[in-house]
Amino acid sequence: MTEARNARVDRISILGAIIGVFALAAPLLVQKANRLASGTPHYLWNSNSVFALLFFGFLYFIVFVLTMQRGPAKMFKQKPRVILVGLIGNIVLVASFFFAGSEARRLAAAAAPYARFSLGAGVWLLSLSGYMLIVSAQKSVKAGSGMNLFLSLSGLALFIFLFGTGAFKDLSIMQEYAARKERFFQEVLQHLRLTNIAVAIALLLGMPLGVWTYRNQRLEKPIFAIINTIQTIPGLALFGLLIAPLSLLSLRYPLIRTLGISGIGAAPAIIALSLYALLPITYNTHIGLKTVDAAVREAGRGMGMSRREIFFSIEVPLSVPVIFNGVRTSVVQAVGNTAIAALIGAGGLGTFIFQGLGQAAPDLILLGALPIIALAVIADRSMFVLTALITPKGLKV
Amino acid sequence: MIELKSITKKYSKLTAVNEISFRVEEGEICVLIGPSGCGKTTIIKMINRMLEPTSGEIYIQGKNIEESKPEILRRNIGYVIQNIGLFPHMTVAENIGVVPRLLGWSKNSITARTEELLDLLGLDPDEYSDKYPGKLSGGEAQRIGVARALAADPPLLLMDEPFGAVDPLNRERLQIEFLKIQRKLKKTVIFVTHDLDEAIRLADTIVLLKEGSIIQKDTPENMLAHPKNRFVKNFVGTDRALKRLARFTVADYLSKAEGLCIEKNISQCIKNKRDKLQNRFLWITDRQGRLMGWLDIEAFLAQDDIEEALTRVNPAEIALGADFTLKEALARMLSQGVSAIPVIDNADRLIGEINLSTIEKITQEGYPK
Repeated sequence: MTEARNARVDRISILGAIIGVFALAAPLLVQKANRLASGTPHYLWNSNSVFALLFFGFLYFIVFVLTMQRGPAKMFKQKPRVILVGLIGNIVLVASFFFAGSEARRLAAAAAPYARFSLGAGVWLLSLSGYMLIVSAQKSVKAGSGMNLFLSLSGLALFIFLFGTGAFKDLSIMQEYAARKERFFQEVLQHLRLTNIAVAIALLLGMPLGVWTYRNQRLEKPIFAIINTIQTIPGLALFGLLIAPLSLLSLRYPLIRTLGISGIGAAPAIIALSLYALLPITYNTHIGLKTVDAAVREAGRGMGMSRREIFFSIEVPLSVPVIFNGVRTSVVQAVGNTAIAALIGAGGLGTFIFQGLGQAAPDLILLGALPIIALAVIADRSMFVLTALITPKGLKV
Repeated sequence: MIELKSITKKYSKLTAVNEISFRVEEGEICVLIGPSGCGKTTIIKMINRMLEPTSGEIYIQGKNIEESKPEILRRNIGYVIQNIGLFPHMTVAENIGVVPRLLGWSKNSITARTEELLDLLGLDPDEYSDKYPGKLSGGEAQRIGVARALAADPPLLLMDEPFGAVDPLNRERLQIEFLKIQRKLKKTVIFVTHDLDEAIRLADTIVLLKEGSIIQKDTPENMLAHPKNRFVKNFVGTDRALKRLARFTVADYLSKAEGLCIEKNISQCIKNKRDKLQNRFLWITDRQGRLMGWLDIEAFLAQDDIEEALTRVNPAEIALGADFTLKEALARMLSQGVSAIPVIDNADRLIGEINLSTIEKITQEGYPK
């Protein structure tokens, strides 16, 4: 309830709306004769869809009105305003792609057969603007509530739905997709597999390590020194570093080889990803336990709780929100880091990114990058909900 | 009830507690007081084995505390600390039920006990049972802290500056409430504080400590009247005579009040009585005996008009209850500029008055009664 009182359409929304207004002047699509040729831009205003221009203009007008603290906006309470801004953010996000898609379809009908229509700066700026509106609205809505989840994911869901109906079919990125449809879903699954296994290993190692460093103050420094150092190794270098020892092991011991572990492929990728995921989990477990109020611990001890009872019925429930925040950071990071795994033959969405880099094909890069962003957002939001569900009620006041 | 036998606690170089022995009788409140670093908290923590003494023994009800496991020992000793330490993820009821749960009580008896304790502390069980500590005020939280310590009905209560973090006004209220509860429950209490007024209000015995040694162990009255040495004298302060007044309650020093009921043919009464009256003022009550105000007799005789001579007052502002201390009575007299204050019962009925001369007599006596 207190959050609702503080809710307010804030500066991030204003900035988002301003960016959005400028985006209307940027090219919506870039038309190219083929995959490699340089292109000609298509703008919103010289497109047929003057409707689109009016549509966005109207949405941003509403946002500006809602940010005002006087005038006609006074009819609305703060909370509905915030929610409305979040909703507009979602609409902008989807509409930018939708209009680009329908415009591409219209132009493609008249263009030469190999013409390609890539997304222009306008679409990216409009999605950025939409995302800023969503973020700003979300801050004022209770974390983990249904409304928060709705604001986070409704745009994404609609986007995936439109994707299914073929609304983006004539965009060049979709042509890349159409060419490797089956491969795409395989890589999405592989990406998820790598990420999940890595985070699971990091959980199994990181949580006990966090408890251990909390219990033994002397271990705190050396262990965190090691984990921090791992974090500072550049992603590519860590993957590379693992190739030599793992190939050596698999050469020397046939058993390891039969398990499918070798210098390249999934094994080194999972090891490296787990190592990266370790820090947030270990650190937050450590800090979560450490920041449990000393008075609460003393009270527990003074009332005759054993160490076990204090740990399980006081320390763990009280540090759950902090620990889960660490897990969330790890998961989101891992989703991103897994892109690199493709370089050592582990597969995943990174495959498209590196193929695209090799072929100087930006659309192919996007085919890898956009789903990674979507997965990261979904992972982030689901962890938020999970954290809210598992946080003891008394801590939410 | 509890006895400490030459307890010493040493930390590498520092001696925190040095050869301390004292006993506390059943049902007594013993207050440990002294400047910071005097070892008072260390002593209390050795009693429930949060700390182990370097040497010496502690007996509770004749049994050496080292014979029981620390956890088991602690479950039978109530423990209240300054920062309360309520478990924020548990409701008020769950917090209070912690020790009973550890002791394996049935669910029903825990619920019953929780409600009983909330009632005892003046908190409505329906309103508070399911609240979380984050929603409580400081005073409420501290009451729950006390309730939690009392949950398993332990004979011994250790309180480490329990009201230290509460604002002065609430602290006084909590102290008074605690005394009321203590009168009912008759626990043996060891109470640590650095607040002398608190010690004077609560203690049956005060143990004054300095650098880990007992300087004086005495009743508050005696310690204030006869400080043993310069340190004690400085500690209790130059206003010790005034502080001592806080040990005496109005009820014990009540004088008979000259009061008249307003409707009983009052003019005639006053005229008849007038030669016997020593004061110029007379308390006036209504038919139920409730205090209404006072009457200036001379003004009344001059004009023969009751309403003119009667000063109506709000009893709650002017009068004192019988459980007030003489210190509060004196403060009231000074602030009102009067030498007598009416004393009323719960229903505002006049039951007597307290006079400045009585208070003066007590401050002059070495031993009051």
